[in-house]
Amino acid sequence: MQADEAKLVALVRKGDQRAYTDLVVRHLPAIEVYAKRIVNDDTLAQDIAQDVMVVLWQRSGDFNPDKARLTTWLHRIAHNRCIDIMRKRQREVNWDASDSEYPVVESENATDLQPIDVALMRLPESQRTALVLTYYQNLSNRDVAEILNSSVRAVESLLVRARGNLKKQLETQL
Amino acid sequence: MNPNEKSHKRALNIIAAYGAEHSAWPEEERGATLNALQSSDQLTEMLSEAASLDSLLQRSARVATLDGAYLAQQIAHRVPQQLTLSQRLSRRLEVVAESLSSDAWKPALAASLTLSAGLAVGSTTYEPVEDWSQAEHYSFTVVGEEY
Repeated sequence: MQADEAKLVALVRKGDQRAYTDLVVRHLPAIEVYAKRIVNDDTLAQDIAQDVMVVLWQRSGDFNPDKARLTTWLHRIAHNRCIDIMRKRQREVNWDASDSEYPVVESENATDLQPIDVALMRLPESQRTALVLTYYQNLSNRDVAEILNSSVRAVESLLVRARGNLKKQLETQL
Repeated sequence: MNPNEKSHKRALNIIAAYGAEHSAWPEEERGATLNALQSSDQLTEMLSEAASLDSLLQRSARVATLDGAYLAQQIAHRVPQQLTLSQRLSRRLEVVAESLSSDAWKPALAASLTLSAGLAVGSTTYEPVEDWSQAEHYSFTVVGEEY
């Protein structure tokens, strides 16, 4: 799979549209769902996912298959975009820290969300990201550490706190 | 801390971080965690609690809706690729190498060889005539006057 993807990326670098389509069809759904879980806004998440695919087309030369898997590279780009957007949004939203520990921007389709999605959105960004990447995106702890520019131990610590916080929140909700 | 206590503590931490699914545990520590589980009621209870949270996590309703094939087509047609100088050069070289490996270069080479041979023969055998003694006579004949 990894060698196959390295070949496809090499073809994309040469402008091969068929190879590019193959890679987008494989990776877009995971990136889109990841962005939805992180930014909690479907339209914004789709924009982020599209941006990531544009980067794959424009700058495939930056991807080094000896250093990372393609999914890790794409998730890292998506993560950075999500962080940029959330920080920008956080500056725009004038939230009162005494009302809520973390700012939660309600999504357009908030009514469709499950209690677990609401609880996830209330986690601090770093805990949410670590949990989503590990649990939903099925990335290894090393991949997650690389995406977060952190260590495996630090990722584990975030995961322990994330699951603990989720449990507390769900106990009060249910 | 003896090795058993150490592996028990590590198993606790793994379940607390990654949940109850064995496949979610770090591959290199899966065996040791399963072994520790067999001899600890505390770990078994913790595994059961982690499984409850895992089942709640499974209820998340996020789904992908974008059409990958359509999006790829749109991007590839509308967005130019950004290549570094070395990438541009290597792409040009590949085009040259591909054209040399096909038969397309043969007619062009034949034409250029013929032209080069013609120029070489012409430049080595042509000797311009330097006799201008009759030139004046010819020119006045042409204009119709004679002295």
